[in-house]
Amino acid sequence: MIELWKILLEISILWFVIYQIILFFTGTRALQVIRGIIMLLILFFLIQRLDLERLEWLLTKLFALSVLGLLIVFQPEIRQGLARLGRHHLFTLPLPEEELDNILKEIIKAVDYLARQSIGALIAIEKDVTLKPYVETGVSIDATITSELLQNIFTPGSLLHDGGVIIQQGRIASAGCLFPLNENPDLSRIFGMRHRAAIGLTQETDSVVIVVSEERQDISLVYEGKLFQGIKRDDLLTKVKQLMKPKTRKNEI
Amino acid sequence: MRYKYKFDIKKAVKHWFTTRIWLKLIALILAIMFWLYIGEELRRFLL
Repeated sequence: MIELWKILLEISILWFVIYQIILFFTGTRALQVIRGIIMLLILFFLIQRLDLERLEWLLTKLFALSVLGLLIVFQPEIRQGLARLGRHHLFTLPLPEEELDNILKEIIKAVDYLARQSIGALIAIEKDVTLKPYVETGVSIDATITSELLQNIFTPGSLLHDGGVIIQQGRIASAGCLFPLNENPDLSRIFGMRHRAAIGLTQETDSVVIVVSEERQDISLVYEGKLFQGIKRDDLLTKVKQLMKPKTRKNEI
Repeated sequence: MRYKYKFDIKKAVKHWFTTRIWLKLIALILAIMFWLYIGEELRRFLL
């Protein structure tokens, strides 16, 4: 009986670790490489079973060299992934649908007003990966989400209008938060620091970010490093709800 | 209307086991295969 519990415990721990590793690679360019490696492993297994000595020798040498190569090539992804691993919730509890609806309606009402008034805004909605490190860079608010409060925060001249607002577990967690900037020089110059911050944050986490541009009065959605510009108010609620679902990928919106 | 977030362990665990099921299934199969592989290697090494 003790043996069985030990076995189950070992398998459970291995299961959790492997699942986290797969999650880490999902949606990155490393996934294609991982698929290639798995195919090579299957080939290696077959070569071993068929006793093809020379091919087995060749593949063994190739594997030894490729490990070092992969570490060098994917160093940025590995660094990002390790940082995310440390910040990931073990269990995440989604908001009830009705609650999410009410919250999003308040956010969209605020965002619509801000866009019409040419007031810039940056709002990040936490999903599975915690935004706690970024919350700590801002001023703690911990308030119910209301359109009026969001409008007030982003009003020019307000102490907290610079930086982003983070929505965490159904509340405005903090304002004036600093998000990591995307440093891609190929990104169009029409996108300012606000958009770069949104892209940077969504590359490091799975949060959904809403950006209001004060120059163009348009609303953009940013998810997994991809920017969707010029979202209409009527579509915004549907698109954000879709992105907040666990299985949605950026190419599904 | 004030929303008070309460962490419910039962709901959280249920949510974990009902989302990304295929990915978790693949991870479970890999974990069992890896466990069997390590076990075999360890036995060979000790003997």
